[in-house]
Amino acid sequence: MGEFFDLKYESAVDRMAREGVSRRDFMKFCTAMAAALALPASMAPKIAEAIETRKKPVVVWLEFQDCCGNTESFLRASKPTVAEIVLDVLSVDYHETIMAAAGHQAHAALDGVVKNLKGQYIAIVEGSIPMKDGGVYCCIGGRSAIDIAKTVCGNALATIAVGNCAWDGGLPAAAPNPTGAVGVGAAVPGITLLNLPGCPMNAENLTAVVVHFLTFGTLPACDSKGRPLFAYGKRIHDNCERRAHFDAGQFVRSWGDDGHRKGWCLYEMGCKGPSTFANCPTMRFNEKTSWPVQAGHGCIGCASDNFWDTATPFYRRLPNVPGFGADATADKIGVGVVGAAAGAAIAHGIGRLMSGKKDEETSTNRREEG
Amino acid sequence: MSANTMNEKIGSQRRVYVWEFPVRLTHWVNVAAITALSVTGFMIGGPHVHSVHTEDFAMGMLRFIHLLAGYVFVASLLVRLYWAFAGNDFASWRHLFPFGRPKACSVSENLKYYLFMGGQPPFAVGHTALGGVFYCVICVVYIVMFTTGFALHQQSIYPAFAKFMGGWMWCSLPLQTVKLVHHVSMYAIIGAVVMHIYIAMYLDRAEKNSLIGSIFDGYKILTGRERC
Ligand code: HEM
Ligand code: HEM
Ligand code: SF4
Repeated sequence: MGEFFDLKYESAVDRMAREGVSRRDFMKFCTAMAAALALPASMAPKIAEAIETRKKPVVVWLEFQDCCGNTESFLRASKPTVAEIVLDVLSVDYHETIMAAAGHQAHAALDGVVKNLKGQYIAIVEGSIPMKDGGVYCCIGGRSAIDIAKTVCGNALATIAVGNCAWDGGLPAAAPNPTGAVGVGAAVPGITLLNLPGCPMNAENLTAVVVHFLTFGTLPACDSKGRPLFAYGKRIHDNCERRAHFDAGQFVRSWGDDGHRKGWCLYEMGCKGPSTFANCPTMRFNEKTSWPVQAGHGCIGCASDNFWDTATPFYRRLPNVPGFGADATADKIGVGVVGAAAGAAIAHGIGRLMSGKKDEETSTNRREEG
Repeated sequence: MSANTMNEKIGSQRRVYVWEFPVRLTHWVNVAAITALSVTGFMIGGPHVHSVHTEDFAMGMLRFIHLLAGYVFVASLLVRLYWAFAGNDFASWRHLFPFGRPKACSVSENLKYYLFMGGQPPFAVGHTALGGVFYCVICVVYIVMFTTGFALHQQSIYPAFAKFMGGWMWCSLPLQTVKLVHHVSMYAIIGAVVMHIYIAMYLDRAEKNSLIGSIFDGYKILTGRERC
């Protein structure tokens, strides 16, 4: 894989020595990564070796219609950790938010990577790509997002779509989707693509993908929607620490009530954990500090498709019924349907009492004849 | 299909064996299963149980009963499906479609009668034409119900099996949408049951042919006015 790796940066070992990360911490990290990727613990030394010896793959990070949240997640402003150093083995040659270069200089860097490292760099995309009206709704340096994505992702070794917007259009694609926003997969079909949905994605999962790539030279196994199975193969509800309260029937019924203070299940408060697949409960965020449900807020389903449209309202269990007002819950409509049926039956019964007498008489007469 | 099958004369009344045992069995198994499914489903989806102790298993139990009843329901539907081909003419799948009936027994004649626009009670030996269409719609709702049910179940233990049982039909939809369809369809079934029971009681009185009795013992009384 020779020139694919950039040699001008210091190695991970040197970097760790300089940052004061102990060998022990490093091995702990490698074991945690093996666990995250559902690999046996015996893989940890292999992972360590890969991180120590493999050189940095060149990465360009594109931002389109985004809020920069995944960049924030990626940069996690805390003390240098092992994970951060691993992510630093990525040689990020282009990243609008964090690169020092600007303007023509920055574009030259991007063009340089695409031209000189064709088929050898990794493109990370954050944000959705507007397709409407020739893609005019997002232009960078005079080029439309779709144009940039086609060249950059089309020539990359692999593309990683981080966050929900780059996966399925996310917030910009929420109804009525004024800019015709789509994710990378829809905008540039046919490329080697890995999706890390979530709003934002969990940087820990990006780290694990990178570690997998360094160790095996391939992207991890994915589901039919291009999400790595190690991160999106299990349901939140099935790994949630509040699940015992769900099974018991102990639910938070309003914010701050007794159950809420006791850490009961957030099902009734609209938790979307039962229909969301992600490893938040086990991976957690910010060096495993916490995750939404642990912090007392229901899951909003941010890793599921079109969640702004399908997982809303966030504080109700079921979506609104299309075509009815926001206050019409499925149950209200259902009671209306059953009520209408009962009403029709009652009205019919009364109608029969008033007009049906004659009918019954004829029927009796006929029977006697028959 | 006039009253030429299995006529019997009992005293002065002639009876006909309309609903064979599998038809009656599956009818009442369905009634029991749907009742259990609706009660537990309503508790799962709406106003919830509220336990005091974490050792309780109230929600777990509700879900267990719901799934158990779901399997019973599907098994019963399979038996009825088989009987739609193996059973007598009255049980045939053909009655789900209102074609090939004489004008006097058509859906429009049935409707006229129910809407007090003249006409006679249907006096059908088996299903009425309108009844057949009604059961056809019910069948569709049943299918929606158990396929969405299995699509939801797919989240947990046996994804491959649940997919095979119809979950695949909803794979491309977000789970929240599937849940909504599953939830709303419950009310469609309950609404249909209300109409069904009312019409059964109504026709039973109008036709005096032991219609309601027939779904218990299988026999309808022939009034001599059967048209189809
Ligand atoms: C959950 C409730 C119920 C459902 C879903 C239901 C559904 C059905 C279906 C699908 C049939 C067609 C039978 C077949 O060909 O297999 C049927 C027939 C029948 N049911 Fe029910 N039923 C319910 C409850 C009841 C109850 C409580 C009664 C008693 C009043 C009743 C009385 C009848 C009668 C008399 C028939 C035969 C009439 C005909 O098919 O023309 N049903 N029911
Ligand atoms: C007449 C038939 C049925 C009725 C009326 C019914 C009703 C319901 C209702 C109202 C819910 C709650 C939905 C929500 O708001 O989340 C539910 C959930 C569910 N139903 Fe059914 N259901 C029926 C049949 C089935 C069948 C055949 C299955 C398949 C085995 C099934 C599996 C499920 C599952 C897995 C859930 C989700 C439970 C959970 O979230 O823990 N249902 N059902
Ligand atoms: S808090 Fe949410 S994910 Fe956790 S058990 Fe309750 S419903 Fe499931």
